[in-house]
Amino acid sequence: MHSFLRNTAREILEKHQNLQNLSIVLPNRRAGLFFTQHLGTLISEPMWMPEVKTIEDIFYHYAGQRPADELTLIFELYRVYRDLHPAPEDFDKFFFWGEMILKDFNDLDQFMADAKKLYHQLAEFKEFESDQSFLTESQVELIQQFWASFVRQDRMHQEKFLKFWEMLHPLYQAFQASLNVSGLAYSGKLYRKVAEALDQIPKPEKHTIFIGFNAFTGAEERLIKHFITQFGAEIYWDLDAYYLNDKNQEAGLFFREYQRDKVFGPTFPEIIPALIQTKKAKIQTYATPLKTNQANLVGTILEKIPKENWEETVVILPDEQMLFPVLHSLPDQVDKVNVTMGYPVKNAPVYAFLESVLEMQRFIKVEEGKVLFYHQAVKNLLSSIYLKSANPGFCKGLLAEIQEKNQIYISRENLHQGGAFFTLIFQKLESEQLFSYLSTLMEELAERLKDEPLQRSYLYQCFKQLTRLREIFDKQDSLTVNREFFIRLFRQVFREVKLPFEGEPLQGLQIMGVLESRNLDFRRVIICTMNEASFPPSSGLNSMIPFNLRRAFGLPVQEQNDAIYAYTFYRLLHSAEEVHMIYTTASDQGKSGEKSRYIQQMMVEMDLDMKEEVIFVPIDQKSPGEITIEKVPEILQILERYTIQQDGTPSVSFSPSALNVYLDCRLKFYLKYIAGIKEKEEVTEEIDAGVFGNLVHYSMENLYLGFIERKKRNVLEPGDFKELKANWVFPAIEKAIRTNYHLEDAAETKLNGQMAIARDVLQKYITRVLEIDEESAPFRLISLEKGKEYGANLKINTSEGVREIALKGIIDRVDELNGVIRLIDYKSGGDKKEFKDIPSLFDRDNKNRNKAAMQTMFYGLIYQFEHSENTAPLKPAIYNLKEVFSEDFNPYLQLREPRKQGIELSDYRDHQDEYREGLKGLLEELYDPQVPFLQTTDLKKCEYCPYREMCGR
Amino acid sequence: MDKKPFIIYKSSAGSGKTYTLTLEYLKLALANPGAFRQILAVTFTNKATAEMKERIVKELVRLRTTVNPAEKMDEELMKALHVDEAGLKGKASQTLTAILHDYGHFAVSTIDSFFQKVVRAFAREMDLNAKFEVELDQQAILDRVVDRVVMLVMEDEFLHKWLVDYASEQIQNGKSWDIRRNIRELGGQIFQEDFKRYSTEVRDFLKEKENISKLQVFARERRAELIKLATELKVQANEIRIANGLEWTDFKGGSKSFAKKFDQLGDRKNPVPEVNKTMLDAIDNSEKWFTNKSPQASRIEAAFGEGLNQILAQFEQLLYQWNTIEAISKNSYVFGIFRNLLDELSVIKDEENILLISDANEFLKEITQENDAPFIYEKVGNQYRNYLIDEFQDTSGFQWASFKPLLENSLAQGNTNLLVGDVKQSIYRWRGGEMKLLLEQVEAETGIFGINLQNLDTNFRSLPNIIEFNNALFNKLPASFESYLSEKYLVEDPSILSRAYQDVSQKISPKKAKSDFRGKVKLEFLTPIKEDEEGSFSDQVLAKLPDMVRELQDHGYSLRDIAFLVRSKKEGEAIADRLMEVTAENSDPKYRFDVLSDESMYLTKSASVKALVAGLRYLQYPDDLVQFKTMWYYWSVLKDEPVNHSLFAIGQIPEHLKGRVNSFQEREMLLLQLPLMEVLEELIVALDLIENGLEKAYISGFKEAVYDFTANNRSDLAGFLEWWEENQTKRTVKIPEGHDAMRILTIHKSKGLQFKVVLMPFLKWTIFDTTKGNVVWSPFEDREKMLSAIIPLTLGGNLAQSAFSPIYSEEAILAYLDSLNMIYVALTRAEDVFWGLVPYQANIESQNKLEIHLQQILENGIESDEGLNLGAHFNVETKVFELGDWPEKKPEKSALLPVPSLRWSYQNWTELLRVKKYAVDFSSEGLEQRKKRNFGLLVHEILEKSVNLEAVKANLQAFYFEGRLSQSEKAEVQNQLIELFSNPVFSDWFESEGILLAEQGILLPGGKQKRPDRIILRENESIIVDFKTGEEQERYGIQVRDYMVLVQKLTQKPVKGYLCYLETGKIETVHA
Ligand code: SF4
Repeated sequence: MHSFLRNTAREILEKHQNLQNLSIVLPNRRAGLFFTQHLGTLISEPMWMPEVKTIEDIFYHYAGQRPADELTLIFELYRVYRDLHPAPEDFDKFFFWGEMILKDFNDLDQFMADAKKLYHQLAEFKEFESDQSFLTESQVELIQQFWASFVRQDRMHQEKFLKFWEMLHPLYQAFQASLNVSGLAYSGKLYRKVAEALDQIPKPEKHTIFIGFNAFTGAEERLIKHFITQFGAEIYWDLDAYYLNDKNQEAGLFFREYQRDKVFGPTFPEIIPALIQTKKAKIQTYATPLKTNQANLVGTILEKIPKENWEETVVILPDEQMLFPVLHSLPDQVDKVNVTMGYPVKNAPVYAFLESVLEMQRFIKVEEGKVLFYHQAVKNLLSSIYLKSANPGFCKGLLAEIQEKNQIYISRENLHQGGAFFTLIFQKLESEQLFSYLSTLMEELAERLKDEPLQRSYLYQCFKQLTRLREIFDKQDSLTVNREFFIRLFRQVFREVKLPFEGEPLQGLQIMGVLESRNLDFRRVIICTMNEASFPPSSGLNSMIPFNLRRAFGLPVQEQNDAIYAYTFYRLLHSAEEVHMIYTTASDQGKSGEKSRYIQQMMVEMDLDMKEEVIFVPIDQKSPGEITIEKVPEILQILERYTIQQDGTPSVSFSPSALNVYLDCRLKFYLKYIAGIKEKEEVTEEIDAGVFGNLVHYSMENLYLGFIERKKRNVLEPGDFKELKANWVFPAIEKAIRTNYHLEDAAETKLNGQMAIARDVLQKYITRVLEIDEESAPFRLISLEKGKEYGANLKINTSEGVREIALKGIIDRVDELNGVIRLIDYKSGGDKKEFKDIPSLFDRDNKNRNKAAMQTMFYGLIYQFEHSENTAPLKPAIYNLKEVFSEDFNPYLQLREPRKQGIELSDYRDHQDEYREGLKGLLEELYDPQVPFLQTTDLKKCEYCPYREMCGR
Repeated sequence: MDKKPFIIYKSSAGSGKTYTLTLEYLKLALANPGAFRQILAVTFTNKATAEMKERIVKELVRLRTTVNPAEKMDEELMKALHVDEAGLKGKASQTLTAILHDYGHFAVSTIDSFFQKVVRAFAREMDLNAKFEVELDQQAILDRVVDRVVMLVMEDEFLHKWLVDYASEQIQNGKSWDIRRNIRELGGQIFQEDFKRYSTEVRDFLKEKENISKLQVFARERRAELIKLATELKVQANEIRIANGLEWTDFKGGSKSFAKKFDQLGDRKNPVPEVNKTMLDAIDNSEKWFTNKSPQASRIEAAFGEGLNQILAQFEQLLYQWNTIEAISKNSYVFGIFRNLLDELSVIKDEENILLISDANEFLKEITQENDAPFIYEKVGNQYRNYLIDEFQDTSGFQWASFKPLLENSLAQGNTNLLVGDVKQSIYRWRGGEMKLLLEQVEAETGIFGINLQNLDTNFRSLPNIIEFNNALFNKLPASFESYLSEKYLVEDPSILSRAYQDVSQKISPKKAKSDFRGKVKLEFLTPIKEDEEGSFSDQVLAKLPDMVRELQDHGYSLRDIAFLVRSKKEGEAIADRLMEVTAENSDPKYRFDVLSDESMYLTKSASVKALVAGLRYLQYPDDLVQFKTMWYYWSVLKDEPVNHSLFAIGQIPEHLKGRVNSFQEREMLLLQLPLMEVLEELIVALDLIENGLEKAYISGFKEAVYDFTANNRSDLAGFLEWWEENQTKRTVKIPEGHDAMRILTIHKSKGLQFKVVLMPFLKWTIFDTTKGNVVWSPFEDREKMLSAIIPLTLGGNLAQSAFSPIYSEEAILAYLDSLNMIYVALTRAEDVFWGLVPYQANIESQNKLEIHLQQILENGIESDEGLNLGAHFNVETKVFELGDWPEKKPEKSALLPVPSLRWSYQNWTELLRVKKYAVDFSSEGLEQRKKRNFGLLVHEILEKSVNLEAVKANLQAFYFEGRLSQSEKAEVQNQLIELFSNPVFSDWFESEGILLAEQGILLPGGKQKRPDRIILRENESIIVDFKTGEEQERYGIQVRDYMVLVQKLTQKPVKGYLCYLETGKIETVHA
């Protein structure tokens, strides 16, 4: 196989006896490693290694300095900027602009542009025009064109642009000055410094050889030329006639220029290699509908390759996120992989944890000196593996408690009981603590991740950034870090951090990013995400300098960028015998699922045998079918527990809601009461119907029980209500909330958002109920307690003979009004009071089956059962939230045939036989072993069912 | 030359629009090789963009080698470019090369991406953040906005009171008090152009809290007044009635008499009853109040005269006022917090550094109006001379306003510009599309430049019968709609419909005219089996589907030739479900029923995905047993294992599952530590889903969902589950085009596509659907109370009789136009066959239904002078409209896509990955050293990299800049170094004579390297030094000795060797 580095190594070996005296300069360190490796395979005796370095090394060496990191520089820039700008934005807003300005400064230095001239102003344009000393005509034209667009200056955006533009040169100058004072530099500054003082460089002791370069910056070009002309340096080009000779091929853009150059020209080889055309690699393209399927395909391609030198196969991943999916699909025969690319830290679980820890800070409340954490954030942290593994019991317990008490906020003290790690995490941070907090946390986490080297590496990458940030902030006393700002900055900075993977070179299958492949040669090339906007990547307009000015001053524009990527691509073809290119047709987020231009170019221009395969993933859907649960003996045994046993008591009884569930959906009844699958509860800031019902109940209980206790009587007179309404409603509600959420009397009932609204609504509702009661007063209260349970037995026939079934229920309120006993249910929903007849209450096919009526009638049954002596009429009533406010509110049930006038149901006992029959029918069916538990056919019932995921409804 | 530079193509369906666009593009692009850089072709979707690009490249590839003067395109190009065949070839070749190698400037782009590009270039001037991200999911943003506003309740008293009032009002009106949902519904308006047009006024109005309160008070008072007034009238009416000794049932109509309405006056919710025709007729016409035979006639007559008539005459006016007030107050609560919504929205935008997709239009409008075109081009870095805008009928007002200055600039310079569109295919009004632009406005606004209007009127897509059917139908349908509009909605001038459709008739293309098969249109009207059963039609349809598909296959159609068009995704889902069911049951190998749909085949439908989601949920909330059981239930389904009590009962696990469940539970903790993608992979393994070979497209789709989520968010499970909750209904299976299956798609998505056979099984819909709660913004003024505001109105039937009736009629017209366009788009997709199922209605009630108009036109089709006689093809018996026969020759079936074998097994390679190591990092040794503040390794790393002291300093500084050291740590390291360097022996290694080598060692044959930390080569001797940290060890010496031997061999000079322990500074001489 052709290998540029190897061939070059051979040539050098042939030419130079003493490698020790050579200084080999390559585009990156990785190429250097490969190069040395190749040298090694070509020698037969031990030898001195040559010095191998990158071009940066040379510049930094001569500059006697290395550049500062970007963060530091942006901060520096901001400091200068603040002094110049009349109304500077905050740092975090400036951050990305700063990045851009810095990049511009870097470019203009790298390309040796004259900052003053580049950032010249409109006013100076005329004088500048005549000064054509170093500008070509076409350059002047570009500049003219740009400023010509300013014919009318009354435009707001142009004004804005000019204002900012005019500041850039002063900014550049001030920035240089301030860097000089602080002894810092960015790379362009150093490059320029060196390139401008080349004549001061003494002749190096070692013979310099440049290998494998493509696009030089202005400073690089000067230096290398200087080395060639003054120090006799050599240069080796890694190129191919295919794109060099075709002037349309952007891949050869730079080479063509260099070939024409006085200095570079002669260094070109006499015979330009023409590997691409002579080799005729086998090229295959694939289209996949999904990005992740590319990984499956890579696996498939590799699978077909006989076990061999994996080193000669490369998988190129323009989208770094594909790394893990590809690794996961590697076939067994690949026994070693070597990954060379950066992987974003933001995908690591430990980073997600750090971010949520920080985010938690956003939702901390301090009330009366107590630090409170918002439930959602706390819950997520408690369920994270890091806290869970630190104290599993505590996490589980606390989660359950939060649940039960519906705690919207959790106190710090409570959380700290989990132990040291919890104490560390759950703190309210002041701005100045942020850094130490995070660094302690990171170290602590690293300790805990002993068995997770990868996670620890992620952490370490973050830690380095944090250290940097901290150092910078330490020095900038004028910059205050507020928390919000810090969190934003944390995100901005950390999301860009990458974990460098770097394996032993030349071992195993090579997986790398696009740029990492420079100078390397492979027999087999597999490229994923061969899409426009990925390879080549989409062009961002990341400069404050308008396009034409950039061009005029020789700064790189899109054209140059395109050329670099095109070269990277075509270079892979130098030695490839087999090329697989995979692109995806999935379009999302601005990317259109368009195949890469390189594929198009090849299709049109190469006389190659190219096939395109469309990858189709089979659907083969499996449909689950209906769920049917037969009543196996075990189930019958469970049902047995609801019957009256020999000792006269059942273990459990049926409540009206259980029976309603059974009528609604037999399967739901099965899952809930027989299989015993409890639904998940959640802390809610909203109050659902059930909770609202409870709150109403508790509030009314508090209100009236309190009354009975205070007045020592249980009859309410119309005159009693004024005081009740004025003084007792609110406390009753407060207490209800406490009871419902199991809060100690002392615990605060801080509500928020929707809950606060709900409370006020509740208050209106209760007040309205009192008004209604006031109108009907006097009445006598009989029972109110939630704790009071009524029960009844009912005989039914089963295949096993007669059984007595236990029933039970809690009646919200029982009172006596004009000799009538009322059985009252408070409802929050829109329950209707009308129903056709008693059998309709048990008719599951009736879409309008009145559940509330079935339930309140059930109260009649249990009340009468417990008070068999009762002779007074029993009148079920429903107070529902949606109706109480209407003027003609009437709480009583109505028997009503369709399109007929309703009749008020005045006494349960008039209907009791029929009702008991209905109930018996229901229970007999339930106990019938032949009737299985089926899913309901009425999909409306599934809407709020907790098992709908299971049923697929 | 009278060539006009501004060309507007009105292109009816199938008229070769893409062809025309391509041709026009080529005319411009072939002028010279660089010309393409200055053409911007704008399309509406990414897909259209890709197709357009492909088409252009394809033509160029062809033209480069073969030019055929007989081809219309080639001929036109040669004419336009004044070249011969060879010339055209040459030009094509040059342009193709230019495009392929400057692909970034090949500007065929969606309107959105072009706008974003410009906005990005002006970000600084627009006070936007640099590097903003474009957010497409506005609904998610709105949810967050609403949550935040509700959170504010505790701090903002006004808001608190406002929302409590709102909730109470909702309840008192018998509605849900979950106000968030309502807020979200109306709140979505803030993204709409319709609202944005007024947003400044609205903001101003809401700035003063009193304003909105005032509006409410106004409404409340007016409402009370009206109720009072109505009640008084009711009392009056009853008084008159009683005075005349009458009952309301005595009046004409008896128990159903309109007179009973008097008694309904003053109701709190509806104080004025609906006014029907009987009542209108009765006004001032006493004879309509009683029957002739009525014994009470004279008394009624008297009552009539005493005021009942007068009262009745007031109904309408009262109702009008009531409806007006109702309309105003309906949304007033939510409207009142729009300011909060807008405020919170801008906070979120700022915090998250996002630009909403809906903002781009607004911003661009500002940019193009604030700047001269040349300046814009300079900033964007592209100079466009020619604009080609496709699908112009869907352009919004803002978009047009944004383009206009650029277009005018180009036109003023005499450059060619081009709009292509078809008002009849404008179906994106709900997204802001304004067909009036194309219909008339653009011509009016840019007429000065001279417009070259072209009508493309030949249909190249469809067979003759389809074209003739459409010609005939769309000759009638607009009029049919219009007459109903005038009648029912009292629209004065509905002529926009016929104006839009005046050129609807298309010519048959010569090629299709020659076809033996003439094409087929079949509309089956289904008589309902049961009266007024809602589901009945859909049951009938679903039952018929399999036979229809069989019949088509019998006639030789491949599945890929067939498409189902639907109005709603729900219909599509029903069809997909039904056909998948049939596939599962199907045993006849002659037929297949495979379907695919980007819109209807939801990932959540699959058992595998359900099992996986349940598994993930369970991992996050291990107490959630529903999820645990759900996971194993679907597992059992997939594996054909029994589904019974032992599977569901808590605490039980069926025998065959025990091993699997156990091993799953053992891995639970481990799973949680993994990145999201790996959790999923591991879960797939744990559930053994791949082995089955089932549902791979779904599993892949789900993986893709996780992949996309991690790309844009941080990868935590809780976050993903939340996201999935919101997004599961958006993710469908993705299947490549060309796969042999039937497509299901909504009419909206079908635009621009064509199919051999189009099936529309649910050919019915309500035309003006006022139940959807659509919102329009309207000014309202009450002079008396000095009130004026822009108000959000929910479109409902009541508006017809209110101060807002003009808006209502306008909406009615547009709704009818929408429907007309929708059915036009649907009917023109077919090449060979259109087959629809329509419900038949024997007694026609409301005509606000598409199917009724179809029925009437087809059933009663009268002969017209020209064209097709529709009625002649309608069989009154069977209620089937049928035009044309099935083809005799069976079309050739094309080969199926092969199913490639893909590798699915999963292997965890993570552990084999090497991460770059650093001294004192977070590895166990690193942590150890960190604790002890032992930086020996770090010092080592610095020294081994440094040739001399200067390099040592530089490297130390570099480490600091990397963040590997803090200032204080750096100081410590520095001290250690100073300490070391204070030893002259040590510093001699860095500063002395001779050649200093640090990273440069000895190369051994085969590629191995020996690299002692330092080698110093002097004239008479060499020195080898190796730095060590930690304990002194024997083997270090041996190592150095090895080096010494090597160096001696290479240099042929004496070699000295040293070991230096960095922590202690101890230097040990190694003897050879
Ligand atoms: S989802 Fe529907 S079918 Fe399933 S248990 Fe619930 S109610 Fe029954």
